[in-house]
Amino acid sequence: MKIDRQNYELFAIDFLDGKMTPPETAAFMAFLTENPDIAQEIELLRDIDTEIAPKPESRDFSYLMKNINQAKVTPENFEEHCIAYYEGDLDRKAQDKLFDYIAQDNLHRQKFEMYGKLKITPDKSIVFSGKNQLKHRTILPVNARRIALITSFAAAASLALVFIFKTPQVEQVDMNVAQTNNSNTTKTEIHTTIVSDNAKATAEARNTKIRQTKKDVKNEQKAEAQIELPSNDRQNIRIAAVVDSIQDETIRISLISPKPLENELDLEPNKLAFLRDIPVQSYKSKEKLTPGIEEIKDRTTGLVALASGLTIDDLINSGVKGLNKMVEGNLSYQSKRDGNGKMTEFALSSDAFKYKRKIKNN
Amino acid sequence: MTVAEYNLCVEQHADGIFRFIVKNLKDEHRAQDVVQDSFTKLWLRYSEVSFSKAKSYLFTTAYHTMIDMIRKEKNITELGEITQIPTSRTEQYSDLKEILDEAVQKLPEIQRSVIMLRDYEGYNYKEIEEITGLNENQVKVYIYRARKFLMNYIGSMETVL
Repeated sequence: MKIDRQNYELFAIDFLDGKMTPPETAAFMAFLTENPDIAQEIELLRDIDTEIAPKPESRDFSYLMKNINQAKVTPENFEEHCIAYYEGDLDRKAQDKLFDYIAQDNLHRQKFEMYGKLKITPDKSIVFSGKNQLKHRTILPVNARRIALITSFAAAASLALVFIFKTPQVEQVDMNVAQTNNSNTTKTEIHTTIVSDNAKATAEARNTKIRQTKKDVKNEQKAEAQIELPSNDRQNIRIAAVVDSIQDETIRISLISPKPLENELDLEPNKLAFLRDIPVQSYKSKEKLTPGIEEIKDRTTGLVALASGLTIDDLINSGVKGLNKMVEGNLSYQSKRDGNGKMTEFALSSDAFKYKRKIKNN
Repeated sequence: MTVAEYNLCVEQHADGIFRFIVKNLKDEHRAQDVVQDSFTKLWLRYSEVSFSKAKSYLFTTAYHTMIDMIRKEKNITELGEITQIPTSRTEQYSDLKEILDEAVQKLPEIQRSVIMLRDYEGYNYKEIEEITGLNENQVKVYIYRARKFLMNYIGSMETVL
C-alpha cells in the first residue's frame, strides 16, 4: 500500500513502535521528507510517548507488594511487618530488616512489643460439662455380641461354681466316691483325703497326700463289708465324681489366688460371711454316703444350694454383676422354678440381646 | 476411628470447641447445642473420619453450625466488615487480657472466629481455610485486620501500662 496523507496514521503507529520492516521504514521516511508538517506531528507524538511512559524505578511501590518479605519496611507497612513477625510470616532476611527499622526509633520498639501482647488466650475455666453424655460404648457386631454374651454367661457360671466350693482356708476335705460294677452289686468306696495346710501349700504336696490316701483306702477296702448300692445312685456317683474334679480345681485356685475371690464379686456381706463359714463335711463312713451325695447333687444342680438360703441364682447373679463391672455391660440373669424348686426356665438379657431357654425336668 | 478414639476426642476437644463457640455466640445453652450437634455428626461418621482429622472435622462442623445458627437468627453482621471504629480507651486497666477479651467481642464474626482458631487452637492459615471455607489469603487478611483492630482498641500504650 502506498503511503499518502490519507492513510499515513496507519503506518505512524508501527513506525513509532519500531515494528516496520526496513523497506517500510524507508518508504515512511521518504513520505515524511515530502511532508514536513506530518514529520513535525510524528515527532511530537514521539515526545508525548516518552512522557507517558515513565521509568518504573522512578517511584517506590514496593510496600504494595503482596509478599511482605520482599517489601521494604516503611511507616505505612510497619504494623503489617509487626503482625507478620508475630504470625511467623517473616523470613530471616525480612526480620533483620524489621529489627533495623525498629532500632531507629524507640516508639517503633514499643509498638512492636505491644503487638507481641495481642495474642488472646483461652479461658480454661470454661469447660463443657456434658462430656459423659457424648461418649459411646463399644458396639459389637451381632455375632460378636452373641459370642460375648455366651462367653460371659459361661464365665459367670464358672465363677459361681468356683464360689460354691471355695473356702478361704481348706483344712481337710474327705470325699467319698463310690464306684459300682455294672452287673453285680459290688461297692467300692474310695476315701480321698486332701490335706492342705493352708493357702501356701503347694500342689505337689497335695498330690503326695492324695497318693497316700488312696493307698490307705485300698487297705481299708479289704476290711469293709460289701454294700449293695441302689441303681439310681449311679447318677449320684457320676455327679460326685464331677464335683470331685471341680473341688480339686477350686483348691488349686485358692492356692494360687493372691486374694479372696469374693472381694472381686458383688455379693451381699451376710452371704459373703456365710460363704466363709460353709462347713466342710466328711463322709468317711458308709452310713453317711447317701445323704452326702444328695447334698453334693443339690449343690451341683442348684436346686437348693444350702440351708442358709444362698442359691445358685445368687451366685450366678454375682458372677454376672462381676462381669458387668469388668466389661461395663448390662447383662442380667433371670430364672423361674416350679413348686418343687426345680428350675424350669432361665433367661439372659441385655439392651441388645435376649436369650431364653426352657428346661424339661424329668 | 475406633469408639475408644471417638471417646478420646470428646475428652480432648469438647472443651475447646465449647469455648470457641460460646465466645462467639455469647450463649452457653446454644453453644452446648452446637457441641452436641458436632459430636453427633462425628459419631454418625466415626468409621469414616480418621482420628488425626477428627479435631478439624469437629471445628469445621461446629463453625458452620454456629454460622447457620447466627444467620437464622439474623443477628449476624456483614462478614468481614468492621462495623465499629474503635476508639482509644480512657479507662485504666490493670489486666491486658481483660481489655483484649472485650476487644475480641467487638470484632466482626469472621475476624473473631479466625483469630480465635489461630490463638486458642494454634491452627495455621491452611487449617483455618479448611474450617471456615475461606481461602488462605482471606484468612491472613482477616487475622491482620483483627490484630490491627485489637491494637487500635487498646489505644495508647500509656492507657494499658
